[in-house]
Amino acid sequence: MPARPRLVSRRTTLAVAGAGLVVLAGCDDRDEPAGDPTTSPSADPDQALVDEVVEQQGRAWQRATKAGAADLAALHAAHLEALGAPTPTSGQAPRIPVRRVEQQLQSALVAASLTARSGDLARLLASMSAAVSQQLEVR
Amino acid sequence: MSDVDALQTALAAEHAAVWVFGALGGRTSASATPDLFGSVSASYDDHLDRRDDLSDAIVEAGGTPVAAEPAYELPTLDTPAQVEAVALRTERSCATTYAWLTGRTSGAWRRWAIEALNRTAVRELAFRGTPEMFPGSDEYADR
Repeated sequence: MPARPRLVSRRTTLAVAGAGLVVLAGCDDRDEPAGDPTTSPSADPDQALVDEVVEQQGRAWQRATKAGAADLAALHAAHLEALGAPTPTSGQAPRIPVRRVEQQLQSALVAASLTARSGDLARLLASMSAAVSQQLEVR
Repeated sequence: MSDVDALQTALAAEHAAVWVFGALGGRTSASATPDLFGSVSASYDDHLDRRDDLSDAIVEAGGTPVAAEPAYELPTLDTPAQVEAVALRTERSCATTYAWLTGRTSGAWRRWAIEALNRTAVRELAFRGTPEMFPGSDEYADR
């Protein structure tokens, strides 16, 4: 089981628009504190969700690696790292096309973001889904 | 920060995006650079829709939508490349706003924010953007 991701929780500065305008936001933290590495995983209501996403990211990494899609594999490795998980060292790649795997992953990330209890985790998962959307657009 | 406050922040960003893309449309030629004109127009329409969504939601919640600024500062826009650069920067800024909104909302508004983030991340690519590791959440890429 991977360690609980250490999610960034900090004031967010939103630089908006073409130039000059800056909107400051995120001046409070409604979310629960970022994951404490000393906390038991069972105490984390999002741990099962994270485990599921890690498994799906690992499958996507396997498939991208098998297909020789280095940039895609690097993306999933970065996402796994953000979730506090290593890239898999074993396991079988799914026997479906890379694009299909990525589409499934994108949908799963959106669903996971919607159900995450932690706002920081929801934000991270949404960002991952957008990264996969970009990859689907350029392939 | 309440949900309405979070929506107000996103609305302020959308006011700016609508204004910027309107200005970019005025500096883009439909005949000389039709692809860029089409991309700028599509972004303008999308941001208009999102601005209206946010404004309506705030009214429904009993709030008063934050007003747009009279104008927003823009850099020099003499070339298509300069238009593209500002368009890309604006979409990236909106991606940051939508990602932030995702973490500050739940339910239908979180879904709205996730969809907006995905759409704006893809739109970045029309302005010579390249795929990112964490659209809207750069701090994860920096670690």
